[in-house]
Amino acid sequence: MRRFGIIFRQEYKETLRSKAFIVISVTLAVILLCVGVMCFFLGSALGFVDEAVDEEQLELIVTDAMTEVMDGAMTQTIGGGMGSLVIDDRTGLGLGEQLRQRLTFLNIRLMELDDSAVEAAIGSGEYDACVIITEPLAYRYYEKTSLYGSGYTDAISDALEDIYKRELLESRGISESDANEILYSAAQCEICSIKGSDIGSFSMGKYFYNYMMIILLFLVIGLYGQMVATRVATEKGSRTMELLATSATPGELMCGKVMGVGAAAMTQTAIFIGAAFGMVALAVGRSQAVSDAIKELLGVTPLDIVWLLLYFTLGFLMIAFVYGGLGSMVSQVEDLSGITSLPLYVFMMGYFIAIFSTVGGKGNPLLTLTSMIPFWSPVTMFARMSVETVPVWQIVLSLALLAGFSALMAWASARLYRAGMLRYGKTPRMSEIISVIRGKQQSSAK
Amino acid sequence: MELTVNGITKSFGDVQALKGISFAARSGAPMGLLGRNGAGKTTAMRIIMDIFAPDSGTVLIDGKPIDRHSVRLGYLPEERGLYRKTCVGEQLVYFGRLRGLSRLEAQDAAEQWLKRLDMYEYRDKRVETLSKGNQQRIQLALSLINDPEVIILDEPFSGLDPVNAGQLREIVQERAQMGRLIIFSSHQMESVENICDDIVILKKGSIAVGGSLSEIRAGCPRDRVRIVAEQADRVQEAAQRYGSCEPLKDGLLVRLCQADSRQKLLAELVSAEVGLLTFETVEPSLEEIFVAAAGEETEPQKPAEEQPAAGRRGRRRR
Repeated sequence: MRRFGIIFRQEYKETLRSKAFIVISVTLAVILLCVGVMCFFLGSALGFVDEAVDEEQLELIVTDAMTEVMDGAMTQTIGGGMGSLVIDDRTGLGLGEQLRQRLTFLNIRLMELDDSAVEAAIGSGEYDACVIITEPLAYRYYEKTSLYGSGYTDAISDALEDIYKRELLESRGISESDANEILYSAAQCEICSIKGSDIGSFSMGKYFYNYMMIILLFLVIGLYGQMVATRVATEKGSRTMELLATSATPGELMCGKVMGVGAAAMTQTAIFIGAAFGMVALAVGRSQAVSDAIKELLGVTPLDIVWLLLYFTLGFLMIAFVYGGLGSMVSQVEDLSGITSLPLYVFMMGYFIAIFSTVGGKGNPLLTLTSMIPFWSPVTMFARMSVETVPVWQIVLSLALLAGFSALMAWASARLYRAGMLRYGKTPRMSEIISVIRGKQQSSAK
Repeated sequence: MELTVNGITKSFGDVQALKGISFAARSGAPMGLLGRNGAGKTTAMRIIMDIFAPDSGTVLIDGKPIDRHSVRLGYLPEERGLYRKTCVGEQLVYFGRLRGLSRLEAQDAAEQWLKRLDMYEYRDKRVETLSKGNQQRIQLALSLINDPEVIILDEPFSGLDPVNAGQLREIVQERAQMGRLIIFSSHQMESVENICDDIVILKKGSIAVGGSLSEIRAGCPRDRVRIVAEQADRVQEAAQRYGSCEPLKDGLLVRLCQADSRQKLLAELVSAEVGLLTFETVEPSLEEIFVAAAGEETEPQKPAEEQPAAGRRGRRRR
């Protein structure tokens, strides 16, 4: 155990000090933070950053041909880049004024607009959006392209529908109180959850979170798993392996190496996530849409984080042990690509299954099956969790299988490390490697 | 402490690298493991160090399998194998710690060895910036950093200039005097002769010669004499009747056809009054023993189960 700790610390330190690690970490962190700073200072110029985060600051400028024309003062607004909103009510029914009275959380201005000039005016930034009411229940909504949209068409549509229904009821002799009773009657629903149900709710935030984690898991596991193979092959090529072999057991060497590099992978991932949060923190105050997205993302539970950490750790260990063992079977680093391509392709299959199988939605049998297969479960289980609520016992079972498989790979990699220590020359075929693991092939190993 | 190798065999595919070799080494008496290239020296050393296992046979210390938790081992491999991009000092500390030293002990030991080898100035330099000879010295320091009880050195003089080779000899002799068990291989016969008490010469995976160097020499035929006399011409004329002559800088080397004709030659030269100044028997050098044992075709030694172990009790071959 003591030697394992020494090797672990040395490998961790060496990886952190490596030029590649420093360059990648610093570069990506700086890029992410720069994006955040850009959002902070240039947001309004880019068209998606607002000063305030309050809906009350949205202005709709509603014009009614029979009401006064107000000065077109620009108002800073929030949400999807909305500034001043012009409404031209062409029905002549005073709908613009009624909207202004109903939608008190909005500032509405009424204005008469020229059709041909609307698109040009919005495109140039003179107005942020425009509503042209053509019929009591029909209107055109023009707005500048935004990431999330204003979300106010629902309020406008609801208001127009309500106005229309009330006038219709009034014309049929229905009193106001009766009209209110008719219009505001709503069914009451009590939702009862049935235990054991494995088809649950869908959350956009959780879907986004899991999707990002799938990509992150795949990249980090693949990248750092390959790094373990490279380090082992480098030691073999430089003959350091012979010195190490007399200083520690193959198991200690392999585990120390894998976990040291894995800890460095975690460190780099933490740097990236920290930089990403920094970027978002800089941008979030300026954009209601980003704020809304973050709120939804933060709805991810602590248990989701726990699953992420477990799958990341076990998935990395599994891949790193495979790569480490294979790395000890080559004579030099240049021979690595050939021998590590097969496990890489197999792992990539899981990635593609994870990415594309979510299209089918919840209950996908392919996702269900592959979420239990250790080589793929680190990514496919996350994909499954993004589209359905997976029973905890299935997640635990998947993790247990993954842990067991990782332990098996650790054992196999130690055997390969011992066997490959002084083996030079032609890169062995996969059948020879399997023979070595099974102890059937005589090599330099015990 | 005695390290005993019993009947070790090892094959790599179709190649049988070791064919049942047996020898013993003891503390305080460095053993030279000699042989031509490919004879099996490095394979034997790696088996002793448990880098790989033999196909059969055992390696014992004081009659028991080596317990690496209780016996400190030091190994200098044939190939230089340091981390090229790691600093010298850091690397020494790392390996020292792997071999059981605490951080402070490893740092102290590293500092002592660097100063002893006059390499303290390189402690913060990367290994790749060092010459091959200096890398070899660092690797030597690494092999001795934990003050091992058993020291295995594979071609330690490789890449060393005469000054550093002399320093290495001093270190090995010092360790031997401290009671360490030392086995090393080398092609530098002079160094082996100066350092080693016992030698084992391997030939094609078998032991050709093994035992105490003095006993091996004593067992060699005493068929060479060096003669210095005032009348060299008459000496040569007489000596040619007993064997071949080779002029030396200061005399004549006579290789007798029969070793026991030495006394006859001496008597003849004395009676001929050639002005004899020196008449001495010349023992074979280790190089000559090596060439004779490992160079010519001789009947290989029988497998271990058919003969007693070599080493201190070993036999020699002509």
